[in-house]
Amino acid sequence: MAKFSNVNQLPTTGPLGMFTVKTVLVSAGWTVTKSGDGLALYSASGDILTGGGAVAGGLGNNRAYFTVTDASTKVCLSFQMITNTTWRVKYSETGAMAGGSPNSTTTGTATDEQILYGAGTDASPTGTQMLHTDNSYRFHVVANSTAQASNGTYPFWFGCTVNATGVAASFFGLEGMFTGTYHPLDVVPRAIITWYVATGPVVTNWVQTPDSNLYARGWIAYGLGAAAFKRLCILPYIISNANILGGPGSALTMSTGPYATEDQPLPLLLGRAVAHGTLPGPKGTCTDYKTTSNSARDYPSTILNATNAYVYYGGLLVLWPESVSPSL
Amino acid sequence: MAKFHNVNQLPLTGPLAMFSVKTVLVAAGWTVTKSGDGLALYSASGDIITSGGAVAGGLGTTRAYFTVTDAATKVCLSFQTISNTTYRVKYSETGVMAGGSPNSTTVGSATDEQVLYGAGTDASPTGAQMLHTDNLYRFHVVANSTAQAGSGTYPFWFGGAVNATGVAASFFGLDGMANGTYNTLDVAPRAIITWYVATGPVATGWVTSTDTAFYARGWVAYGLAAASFKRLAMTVYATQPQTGSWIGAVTGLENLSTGPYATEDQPLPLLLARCLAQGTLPGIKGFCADIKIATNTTRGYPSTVLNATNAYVYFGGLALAWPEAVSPSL
Repeated sequence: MAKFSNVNQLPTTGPLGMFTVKTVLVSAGWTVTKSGDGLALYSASGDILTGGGAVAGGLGNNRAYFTVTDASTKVCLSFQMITNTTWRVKYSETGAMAGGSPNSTTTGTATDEQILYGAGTDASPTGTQMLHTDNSYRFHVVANSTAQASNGTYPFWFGCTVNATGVAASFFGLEGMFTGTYHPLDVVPRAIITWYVATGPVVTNWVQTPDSNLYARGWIAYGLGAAAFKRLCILPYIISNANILGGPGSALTMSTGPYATEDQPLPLLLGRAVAHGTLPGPKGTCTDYKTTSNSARDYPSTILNATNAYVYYGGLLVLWPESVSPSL
Repeated sequence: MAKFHNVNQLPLTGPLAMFSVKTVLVAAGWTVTKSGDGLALYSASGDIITSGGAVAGGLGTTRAYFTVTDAATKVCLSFQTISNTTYRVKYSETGVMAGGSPNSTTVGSATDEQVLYGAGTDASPTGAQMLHTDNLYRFHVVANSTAQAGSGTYPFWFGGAVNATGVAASFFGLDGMANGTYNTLDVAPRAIITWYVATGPVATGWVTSTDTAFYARGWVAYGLAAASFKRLAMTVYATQPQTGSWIGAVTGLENLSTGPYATEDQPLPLLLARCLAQGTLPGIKGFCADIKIATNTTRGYPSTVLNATNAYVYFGGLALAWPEAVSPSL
């Protein structure tokens, strides 16, 4: 496992932050498979973006974008800038977005594509807020260059923590399901967790009915007749009556337990109950992501900072570079 | 992994059932390290129990007992008959109960022993109900002869399902914590889950604000100064906080159904833990290695999953190891 990262950044604009997402992903083995600068520059198979500015070759122009594909040529994501804080993001499992009429302002398409942020069409895209207000947050990107065992996912995440307070205002993360915890017929055993909430995530978007606002999404029965891209519950634990352990605003804490000063994070199960609508069932347990068992801690706390670092982030614990202190 | 078992029994008495527990455990590699027949026969190091009857060499006489030790000589359990349904059961992590004054009616003792069922003293034992009313239940014993990775536990369970209804009235199970889910300083990474409830287990035996009625128990910080044998919550998964719904336990739960892939349900991992609200020594014990949470509210005993290949049986909200290609009987 090799982590690539660029954390504790203070980007002055969203596109400058997102340019570092591209840089870190490429370092971790992803390939830019299409890009346009929103002006005249375009590549149908490579990377023409050289910065995050609002200039030629920059990601800072309206409709500038990059499309990246993981090392297994399965997961494909396009990130298109609409404004500095609003983006249109698409996701495919086909390794490419080879369809459509891509050019310097228009992303390609895939038959299975899902829009994670934004709306409209490729020819007339609109965005929704993915990043916090410019110049008011720390920006973090962490990616792993090693595929997760069995599920083959190359996990990464990026997000904004509000300056001074450390509120985890935004998050975008790709994560695979742990070996043995997902159904053997699930050929897409991974999920994407996203939120933008200026005041930080809330537990009712981890679990609730209806499912329309849940932060986690993933394919269920991909490749089968019933296939659908669904919202997934991030399931915290109930340990004492209706009080929840884990997640943002967890009512309970376990402290560090009797053994050590380190907290013990809890595995994170994704799934849908019958009450959440069609295609219920467990998706699986996240491989890297954990949930907190100590309600007294959040960003910028870490555990195992020197050896196998995780950072507290809005109720989650996510990978963090070793021996680096998260900044407020 | 090799499962040894004797399931779907119809024992006429509790001691006949418990004799089958001894037999299965011995087949799975456990050793009888002490025994007495409640009459005159006694062995300080072996097995003189030859039946479940109320006869010489039988387990059916008041205060007859057997003490068994696992193949790692760590877990040691003594099962003592008080009546056909009530037992006194003790547990030690020292591999033996070498202390005390054991004889044909008196079990040995260990410095770390914990009484799981019953009360009184070794010299004057009393029992608590562990088995259902005689001749009214199916009895099952399943034991694994392979130590679990990491924890080194040799898991087993036994229990009684009420005839005709299948209600999981009694349960006694030893399970280790799954590798990587318990603290590396925990040298007793296992737990024991027990209940006797004639009408079946209830959710407050899994999770509630106080720990006094929890079905699960285990050592916390064994070997350290803070060591204590504690009740552990069997945590469930929240699905709708606004309605208090969850997955797991036996009431108030939600249904995950079989999911989109198959007719088989997918049992979920079972976390044992204590939170600060439940008193001293809060923290995570770990995830059970074998015992799972049943996730389909429309099914209970005698349903199974993966019956042909890696069988689990539904039993009081749990999914438990079960012999392959065997149908549970009502």
